[in-house]
Amino acid sequence: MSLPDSGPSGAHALVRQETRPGAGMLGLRIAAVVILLGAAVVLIDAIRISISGGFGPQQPGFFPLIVGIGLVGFGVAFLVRSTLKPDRALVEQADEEHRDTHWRTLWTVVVALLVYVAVLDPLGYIIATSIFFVGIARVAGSRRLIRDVIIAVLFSAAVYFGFTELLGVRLPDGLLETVL
Amino acid sequence: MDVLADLLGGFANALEPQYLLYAAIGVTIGTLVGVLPGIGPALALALLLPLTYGFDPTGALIIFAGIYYGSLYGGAITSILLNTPGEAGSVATAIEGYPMAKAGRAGPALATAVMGSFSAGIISTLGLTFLAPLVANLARNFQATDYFALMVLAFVSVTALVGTSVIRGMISLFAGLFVGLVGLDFLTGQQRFTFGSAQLLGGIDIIIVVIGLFAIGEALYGLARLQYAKEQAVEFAGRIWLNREERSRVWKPWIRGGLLGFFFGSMPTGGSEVPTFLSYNVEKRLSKHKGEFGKGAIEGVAGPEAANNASFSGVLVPLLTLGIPTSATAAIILSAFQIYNIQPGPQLFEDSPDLVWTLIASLFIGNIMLLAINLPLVKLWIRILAIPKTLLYTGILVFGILGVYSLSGSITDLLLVCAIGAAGFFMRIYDFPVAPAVLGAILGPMMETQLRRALSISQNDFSVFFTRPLTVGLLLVALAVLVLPAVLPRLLRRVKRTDPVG
Repeated sequence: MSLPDSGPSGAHALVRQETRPGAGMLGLRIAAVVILLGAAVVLIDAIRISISGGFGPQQPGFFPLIVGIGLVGFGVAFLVRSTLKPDRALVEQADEEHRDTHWRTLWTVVVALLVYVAVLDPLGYIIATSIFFVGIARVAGSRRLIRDVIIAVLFSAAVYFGFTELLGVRLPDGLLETVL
Repeated sequence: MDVLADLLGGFANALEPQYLLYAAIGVTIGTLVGVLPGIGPALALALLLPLTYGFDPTGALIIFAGIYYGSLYGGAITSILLNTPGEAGSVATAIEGYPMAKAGRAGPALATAVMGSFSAGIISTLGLTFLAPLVANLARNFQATDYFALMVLAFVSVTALVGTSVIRGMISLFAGLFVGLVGLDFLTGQQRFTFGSAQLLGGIDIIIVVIGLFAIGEALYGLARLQYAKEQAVEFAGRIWLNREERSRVWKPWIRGGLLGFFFGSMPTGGSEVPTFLSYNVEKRLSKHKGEFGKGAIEGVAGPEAANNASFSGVLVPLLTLGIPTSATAAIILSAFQIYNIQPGPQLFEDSPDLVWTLIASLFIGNIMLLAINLPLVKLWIRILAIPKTLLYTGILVFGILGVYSLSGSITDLLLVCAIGAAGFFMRIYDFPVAPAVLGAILGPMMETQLRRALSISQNDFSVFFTRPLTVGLLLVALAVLVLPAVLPRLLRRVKRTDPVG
């Protein structure tokens, strides 16, 4: 598991996590299950389309059915290759990738992205982007807060004015609506 | 010599001072973005697409050509100095380029890459100049079944020739096909895979797929590994220009790489990955310095980088003449065409010859700009590599979100790009090739259209796919591409075993 303080102070500070053997294999199996679940959703929806639109080769359901069947078929093949007949080279590679991945950073960034997208309109481009920028840089290990804040504000302001004034692309004003 | 007259006309358009300025700006911005680690030409074009909104079609295409060449060069810089190729096409460059840089020969490696790109770019643009009108002529007789077979061939070659596993390639391909199907069915107006969301009715823009997989996915990958990152950057010092021995070693690889790149680029095989690796292997086999390979052989940079550039003009052949984009880069260019209501295909050469020839002329100009502006400035570009990685990946995320926001301003699209980005991250760590997904999303809808058109003409009779010689030929090639890589080694082994000497 992650060390208590996994925010490194500098580029090389973190001690590599002890990897559980088989992390890559487990990851591959989870991936296989996720793929199969997704494939099932696609196939079911394709059948639904075919029921309402017809099964004929010119009807709108024909191609989706092929795609659904293909996804399920190759999903099963992938599941077999990660369980009954494991693909050695792939498992080794996945193990290595798992060892090099700092999962907490990954999930933090994913959540931060979703929050950023959600607050983009209400807060406005400049404010939301500045906060996101500083936050991600910190999560990624940057420890020079003042420099990051200056860069973030300049960067997002430059993008905002460049896009709205020069390129005619509207970006949200948000809280700064009265000022800008 | 109709072609030459047309080309001269194109030059007359493209050589106006304002367009030359655009080309210079495009090359510069392209290099600036391409030199960021992990960003290759397709992504650079996708991120910079909003920049072209304010221009006329010709100006926009000229900037685009400039951005393409600039980002290709930027990608070569990062492959050679950081060993972080931004796109599949520059992976082969890094194999020999990075060891060369470590041995203190970064300058010659970069010079070989740029000058090789230049020579190959000229060769392949000449190829495009003469081949495209011929193919456009032929393509006028193409029927729906032929288009369908061409796309089958494209899918099969990108999954079978690229990547390590056919199963994973196929999953990637079908996932891409699924993404391409989302939205209203164009014939009947039925909703497909919209899951009740009104925002999905219009489908998922290919730009969202490209930015998600390449920008967001790549930045997530970079950020998640940053905690353990070993600093790999190589100091850049010493001469840039090639010495006599190097010059004599690289010109043949340049030409071979250029020809390979153009040839395979113009086939429906998904762009630059196949020709660059093929070129690498050819140079390795032909070289008089086999021992240097793996330790920094200059031929191994010259050939693949030439093939990489040349494949672009090759990819433009099916794009301009058939309207079929066979690589992510081509798909972005097709999106740019569509913004200006230009539909590539056999008609394009008749309907808007000015535009086509100006574009081709601007490819020549972009190549020359690249050589004139960028090579002397190499030490300036390298400064960009000093940007801390933490800020760099954050910046890529912000630019990715910005690129999608400026497309539509829709929150659904932004959530989609995040989801595709996360998928891209896992595809990366479990070694799923990305190219089939991109190609599936681009070509899937076109393939379905052609399939349904063919069947509606034949009244649901599938035999049309087996009676037209061209269609059958293309399908047989596709079958061969799929089966041969698995069967051929076994056959060869059997031949060897029966051969008493071998």
